[in-house]
Amino acid sequence: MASELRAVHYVNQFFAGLGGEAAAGTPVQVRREPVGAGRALAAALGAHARIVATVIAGDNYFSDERERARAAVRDALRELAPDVVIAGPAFEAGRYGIACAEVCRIAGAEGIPAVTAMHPGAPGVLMYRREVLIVPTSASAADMPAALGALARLAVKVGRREPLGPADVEGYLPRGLRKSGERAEPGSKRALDMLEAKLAGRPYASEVPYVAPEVVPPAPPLRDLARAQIALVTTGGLVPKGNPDGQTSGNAKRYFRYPIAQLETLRPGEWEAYHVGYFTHLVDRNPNYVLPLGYMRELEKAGVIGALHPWAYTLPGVSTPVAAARRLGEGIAAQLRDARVGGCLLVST
Amino acid sequence: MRLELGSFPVRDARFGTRTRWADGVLEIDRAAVLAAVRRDPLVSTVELEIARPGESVRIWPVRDVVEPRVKAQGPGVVYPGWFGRSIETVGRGRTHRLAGLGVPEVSSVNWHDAGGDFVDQYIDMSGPWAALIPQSRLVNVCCVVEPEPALAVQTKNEVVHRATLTVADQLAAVVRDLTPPDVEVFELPPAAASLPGVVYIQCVHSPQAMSHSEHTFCTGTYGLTRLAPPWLLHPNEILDGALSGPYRTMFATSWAVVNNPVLLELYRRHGRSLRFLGVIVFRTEWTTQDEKDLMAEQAGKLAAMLGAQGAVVTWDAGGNEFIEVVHAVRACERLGIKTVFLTSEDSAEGGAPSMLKPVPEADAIVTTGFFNTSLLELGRVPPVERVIGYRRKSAGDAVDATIAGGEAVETAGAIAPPWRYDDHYGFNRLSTFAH
Amino acid sequence: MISAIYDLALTTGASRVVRGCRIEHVCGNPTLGAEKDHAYGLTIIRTALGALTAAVTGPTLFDPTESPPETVHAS
Repeated sequence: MASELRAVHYVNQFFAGLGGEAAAGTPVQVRREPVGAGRALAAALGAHARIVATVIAGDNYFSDERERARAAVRDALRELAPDVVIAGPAFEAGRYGIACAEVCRIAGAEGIPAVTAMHPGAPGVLMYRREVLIVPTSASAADMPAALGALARLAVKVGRREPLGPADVEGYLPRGLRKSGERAEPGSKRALDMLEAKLAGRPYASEVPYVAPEVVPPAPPLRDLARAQIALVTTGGLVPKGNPDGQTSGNAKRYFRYPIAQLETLRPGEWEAYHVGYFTHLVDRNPNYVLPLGYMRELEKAGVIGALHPWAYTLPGVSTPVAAARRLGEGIAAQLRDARVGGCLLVST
Repeated sequence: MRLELGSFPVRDARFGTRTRWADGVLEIDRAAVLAAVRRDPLVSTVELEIARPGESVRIWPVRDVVEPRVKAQGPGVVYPGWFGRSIETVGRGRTHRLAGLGVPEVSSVNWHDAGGDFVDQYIDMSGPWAALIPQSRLVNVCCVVEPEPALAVQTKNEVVHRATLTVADQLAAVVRDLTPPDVEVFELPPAAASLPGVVYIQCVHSPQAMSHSEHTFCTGTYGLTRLAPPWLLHPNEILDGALSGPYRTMFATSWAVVNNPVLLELYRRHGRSLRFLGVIVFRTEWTTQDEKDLMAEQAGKLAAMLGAQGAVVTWDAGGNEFIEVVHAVRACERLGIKTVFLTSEDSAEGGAPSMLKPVPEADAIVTTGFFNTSLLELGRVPPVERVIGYRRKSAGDAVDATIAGGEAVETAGAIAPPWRYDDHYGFNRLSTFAH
Repeated sequence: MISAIYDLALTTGASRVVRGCRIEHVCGNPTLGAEKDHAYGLTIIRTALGALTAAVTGPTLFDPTESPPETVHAS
């Protein structure tokens, strides 16, 4: 049998039994025993782990004196050097939930496994679910026994540094990670089983839950186009003829930029599209279809735009995972910003 | 429409003095089969080689795997429509198949000449890549074929696939007049109206938008791969190969489409838990938003006109085709048709969505896992003793992880698996989990 | 952003999206003949530049064949 883990528990003033709002300014303190809710947690941990200390802070103190509170928690954890940190449960509480998540982050930075518990709608979940292991609870502290059971089970697992299984199996909130693994039945059978459940009104769980797309605040409009420097970017995989830099035809891992300051237009025979996702012969005949340099020169001469940025950016936008696309886009945007580009035309195939 | 499918199991194949099947062993008159292929004057070279499960063999590269089938009774021919084969509607009578046998199409011929699109799939007969590939469990009689080098790429594609079908025809012909040890009957008799009506929307990729070719590669409908409005097929037509053709993943080859477990599972549930209404074949990779949305709307409308209460949607591609596919899911849901979407996933690195466009109506998704093999943590696959096909690989680029920096690699060595896995039809249990 | 598959751009975070012609020839149309193709391409680019100067509150579609720009918010 594995040896008994040394656990540190974090609770706020209320769950430590110090009082409600009146005690919310309590500074960080350490007691070398289970306190308040920690006594029930100790029972749930049983022989697997022992609460060697409880770290307590008032909710207001933790949010108002954020840096001091965090430093005090970090110092306490360094001194106690536990095998695992357990924070909460915080249920639906706003400040307490955030404090629990932050305590877990501090523990993580110190290399100590940590877990907390709160309601999936709590602000701490919205802010920290990607970084912190959170056991879902109901909104109310009346659910304490169930919440402590789940929390204790997961705390022992991470404390022993055992590999974690999927979120729904282990009982934590998904952190936005997806990992490969096998299910009990082949995909074909699971699809028809899910369809029959859906048709019969029985519960079923989509294996890829809907995630709302990221909301991107629009950049403010260009005030004076006639003075602005405009850049051209394409995902059409346009490269100088012969693909001298060895751009891939898809699954882009990097982007390229080519000087266009001396060019009036893009001539066929000098450029080619290297892109696995579309019929590239038309672009080979007229590269301006994906990198409209000729038009931009006309408009530059007519004074419609201030200047055309001297570099054109290109990559093959095909089979590129969203994560990679985001990283490439950030790189291009940073370079354009540094070059004081005011606006950008991105042509996507 | 009633189809009897007679299976002749194949445990082993070997070259011999005449082609015949007996007790699970296929003997092949190599010279006679090759002579049949060479009747096409556009064939430059052709060879047959046998690979068995468990052997230290790599078949490289593979454009298609065809299961030998033959019409024993009833109209038409199997794998109809390709290169002048009859287009008479198939799916009736009796078809015989060599179960457990595959004919891989092995050639250096590329799909097309627009933009770095290379054939890069291969089959290992043992090892970690073999464990994921259904065709690695077949006795494979490989058709290694090269067309005359002066031909245009479209014609080259035709020549090599025609050669493969010729080999499959030659092998299947020897069981046409035999009595199969096992017969399964496929028909859709009227079923209780209380059972929910279900359509299968099978999305298949057209090559047109990439190659402007209407008939070189990709899964064809009676040999036609061109972009067209949705087709309505009886599942028996598909069992006779009305949907077939070379394609870029092992899970979309001809063998995979006639053995599609979604299709077979729907059949087996007909009259028990659902009424299988038919297959809407939805061709994908339209190149404007309106075309994509029109086809998605029409697929949903067809499903509704068939009286569907439920639909299963699968697809065989990646990239922008996702739009019309997921919009077909949305169209069905908006018409009140409860829909399940079977798909693979892209990387979710950094918490990014693993699908191109999130659609709230797609609320019942089954995932066959990451399609990119780099996320499957297979590492390099071990070297093999024997390569069927080409010992050196010099085409390709970094999209194909077997080539680093474009230099030639020895295909017998320890190399990366093909970059794309992509179990389109849910053969395997691999999936992904939220962590 | 100029795209023939504008719906994807609108639902994945692009704020100013211009409707392009077709994936294979986003900023033009070779079937129009050289002169009309050029005029059409120029209209697309002008529409895109106009979009840069337009105040938008969310993903917005600009259609080169229409004016004023149609506003589409992604759901």
